[in-house]
Amino acid sequence: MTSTFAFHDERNIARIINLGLRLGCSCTRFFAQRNDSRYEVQVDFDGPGDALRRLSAQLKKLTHDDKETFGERPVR
Amino acid sequence: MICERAERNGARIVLDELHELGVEVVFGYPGGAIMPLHDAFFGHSVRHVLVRHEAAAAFAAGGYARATGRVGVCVATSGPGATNLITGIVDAMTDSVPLVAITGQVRTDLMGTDAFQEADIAGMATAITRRVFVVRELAQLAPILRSAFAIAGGARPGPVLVDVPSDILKAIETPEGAQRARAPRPHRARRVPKADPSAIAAAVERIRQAKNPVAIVGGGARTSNAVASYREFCALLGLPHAATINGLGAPAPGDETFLGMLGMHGWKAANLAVARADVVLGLGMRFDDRVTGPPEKFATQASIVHADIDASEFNKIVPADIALHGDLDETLTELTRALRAAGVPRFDAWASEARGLGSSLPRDRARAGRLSATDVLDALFEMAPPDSVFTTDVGQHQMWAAQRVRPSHPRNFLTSASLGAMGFGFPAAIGACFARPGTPVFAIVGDGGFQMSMAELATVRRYEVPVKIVLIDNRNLGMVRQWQELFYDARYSATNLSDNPEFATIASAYEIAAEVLDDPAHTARVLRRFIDTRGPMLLHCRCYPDENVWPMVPAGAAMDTMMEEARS
Repeated sequence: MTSTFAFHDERNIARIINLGLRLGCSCTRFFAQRNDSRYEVQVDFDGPGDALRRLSAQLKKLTHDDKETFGERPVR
Repeated sequence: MICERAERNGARIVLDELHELGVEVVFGYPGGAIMPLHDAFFGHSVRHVLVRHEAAAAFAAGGYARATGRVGVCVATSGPGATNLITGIVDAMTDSVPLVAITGQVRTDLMGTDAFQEADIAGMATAITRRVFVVRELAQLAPILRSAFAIAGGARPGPVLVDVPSDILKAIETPEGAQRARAPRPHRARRVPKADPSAIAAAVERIRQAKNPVAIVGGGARTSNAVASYREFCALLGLPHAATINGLGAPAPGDETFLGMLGMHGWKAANLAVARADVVLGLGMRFDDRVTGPPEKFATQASIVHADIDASEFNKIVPADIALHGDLDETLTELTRALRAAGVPRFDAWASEARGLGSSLPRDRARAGRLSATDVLDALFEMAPPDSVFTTDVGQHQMWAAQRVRPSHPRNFLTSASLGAMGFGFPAAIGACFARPGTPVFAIVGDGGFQMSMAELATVRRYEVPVKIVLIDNRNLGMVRQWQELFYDARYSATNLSDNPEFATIASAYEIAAEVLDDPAHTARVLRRFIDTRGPMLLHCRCYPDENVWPMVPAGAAMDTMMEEARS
């Protein structure tokens, strides 16, 4: 599963890895780059389909919360 | 007793592993996801002590660990049970206490669905533990527990959290798994760094050239069992020395070269001697802000010799001129041997001068006929058996106790030093009672902190825990009140507890003996009765409300600029 995000709060970068591990997924590629006030993140996870689905839902929450906090729409 | 290996489920594996790891007692509280584990406690040799709040489980396990050096264990269910452990886990992290927290988790197929009582405790605990494990397969369970104990009880101890979903606790071990469990376990020797001989030689030379050296001992003396080597080191040189709050007990009781605790509420002699020192030997301590004040104002004339097991502590706050990276006991043994071989002379004259810089504590607003908290504590420490364990909560009574107590060992004075977690003292004392049966244990608590933890009177009642509770009740959140008096123009906001309950009545409701002390003329007689009473007892000391802790170094000031009396 490849996901792309943009966050204002860089702590979310650590949170992504934690969430993946907690749900039984492993991170196979990670890229993060600061662009102005946002961090653009691309991450690949491997894992069982159900775990990836739940991880995806939790990551959506993260991006949603970041958007709520900083008032900007995530990249994707 | 380890139960029959056949047909073990995950919960039974947890308890069998705990038994193999030497665990005798676990402090916990049940709940949905952890139920299989509590079921497994039936008939198992590992004892479960039911507390009345998960926070108390973590603090009691911390008290157990601090009193023995063994890994303390607490268990809680998922969600709120796990989150209630967090303060005790942070406390273990910041004071380097070996602790394993085992939390139940929702089933693996529910994780990530925001299920009932689901919380990402692993995510939360990442920042406050040495390591977090989420067990996702039964086969991982036993190896993870062994790793958790190895990490928690490592060279620099700390907390480890093991999160176990309920389906893993219920899963039945396969025959192959059972066979693996019976296989001999390879012994892994713990790697402990050893101080570089050239650094030892440099330290010896620095001490030889010093005129006014001062040693500061910290919690490392407790962790590395360096009490004997520390005392020998100081005695060889006649060295004036001070202790951080976690180092109290390392100096021998009655040692006249010991200057007392240093820092914000430290003894004048300790702070002034460090300020005048030309060499400061920081031994198993980490130059905490409560000890140094602003680092640029700390021991400005001194070169720093810093000994610690954790290399990340060097130069973190105070730059080290010489870093001795290794186990403190070994480092001190080597240092003492090298100093003796080099014939480094003693510092008796300087020690005497340092002692003379301030060998008494200032008194505060002593009023005839009113009970002073410091008088109560002075009498308690005078009368309690010499091998007693004292715990404290957090606030004024903690500082008064730390200034006065002369424990025979650092494992005899247990306090939430770095985190300063109110609610610690009473459950930690319960943990200490389980850890060291037969040793007198006194929980010195304030009226604020006791009300955060007094539900544990039920735990004391159930298990007949012989803890003696010394409740210093000044009807205030006293330390905050003191700061409001001194630095906030006496605007007393949210610190008045004048509507405190009758604590002795509450204790009596739990069928725990209790007595009220409010007349200073009766202090010695009441304390004698209190100390001699068998079993648990609460002594409610109604003290006057505005006694302050002196000396005090105001925030931001150098440690030799001490306030010594109230303004009014």
